[in-house]
Amino acid sequence: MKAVKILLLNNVVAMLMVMMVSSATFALELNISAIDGLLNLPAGARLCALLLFGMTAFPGVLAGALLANVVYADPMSIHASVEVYSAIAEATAPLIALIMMQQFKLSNFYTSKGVFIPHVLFLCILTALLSSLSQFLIMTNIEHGMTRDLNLSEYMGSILLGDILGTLVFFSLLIFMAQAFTEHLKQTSD
Amino acid sequence: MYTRFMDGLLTLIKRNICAIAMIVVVSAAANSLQILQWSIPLDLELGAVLAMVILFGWWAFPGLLLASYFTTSIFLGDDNPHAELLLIVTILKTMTPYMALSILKMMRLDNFFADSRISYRHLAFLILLTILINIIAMYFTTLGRELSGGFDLASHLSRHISGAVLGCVAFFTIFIAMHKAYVVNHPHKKLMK
Repeated sequence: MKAVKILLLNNVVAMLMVMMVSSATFALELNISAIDGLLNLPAGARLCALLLFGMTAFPGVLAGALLANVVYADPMSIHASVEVYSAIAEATAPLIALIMMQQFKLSNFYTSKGVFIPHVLFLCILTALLSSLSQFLIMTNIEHGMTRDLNLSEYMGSILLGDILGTLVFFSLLIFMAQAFTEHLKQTSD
Repeated sequence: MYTRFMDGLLTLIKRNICAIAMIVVVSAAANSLQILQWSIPLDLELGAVLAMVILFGWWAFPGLLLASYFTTSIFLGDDNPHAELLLIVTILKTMTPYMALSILKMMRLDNFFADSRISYRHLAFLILLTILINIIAMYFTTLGRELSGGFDLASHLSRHISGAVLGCVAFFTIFIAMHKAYVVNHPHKKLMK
């Protein structure tokens, strides 16, 4: 019963995390045009949820990604007709990246001192690559998702850059936050 | 001496980065609901500021001030009556939680963590006191000024109160759930015992 409770809590929190970061990115991109498409923070949130809560939190991540895509759908976007596929691909990319890293024995994300940066960094890059590759496959296989005048290589480059920067910025912030919280918890427990 | 100073500086930087990231993300999330023209007011930022004040105290003050200024200037449109009082609103938003916390400390009602559990009564009292001080300060700030035409102070303040209460409840529910999940899943649980 306790395990079910934890599973439920993890999934709800993963969903809320993805939703909140997606909505924040939506508002930031709308208000600050300089970061439009340059900082895909939800990619970091999805990856972080899976890394922190384990692969059992995948339903929560998927639900969060789908909800965010439905609520903040842009009818003018070139993704408008493939929103659902895009959300599923975005949610699945970090899961596949994690499984790949586990298979290659590169999944030592935590050491006794804290987060092991090289493996996390590689995970971020791999997730961004898989995410942009899945977007590419969706855009090319579903014909009405792409207009004729779209420069696909440039577009995929911007998605890749946004995903890499988003995951790196999110993880840097998260590591700072986790350290601050852990220090605070240690101080209060002392 | 030098090591202690550097440790302190690092802690200060970490806590302020944490505060800035939290406030900006939460404010942007609340602003996204406004963009979608959601009619229910939801001031999530106040909840986030309170959480940071409870957790980090005065250590996070510079970060909170910076983040409040950033969010107020970015997310408030020119038609918002607060746009004319940007600096005052920023200082008020940052200072009122500290004032409320000081009052609670004087009254010995600041046990927010009892036996490693959150004391909801004290937390609820802090939220209410902060909203009260915020509203009084906002009232006196806007009273003598000629703000944008058609500005109704009474309806504006009532919207503030409902937004702040709903926002704090929503934020702390999410925050406590996240905190629980973090503690349950954290790989270094021993550190927190």
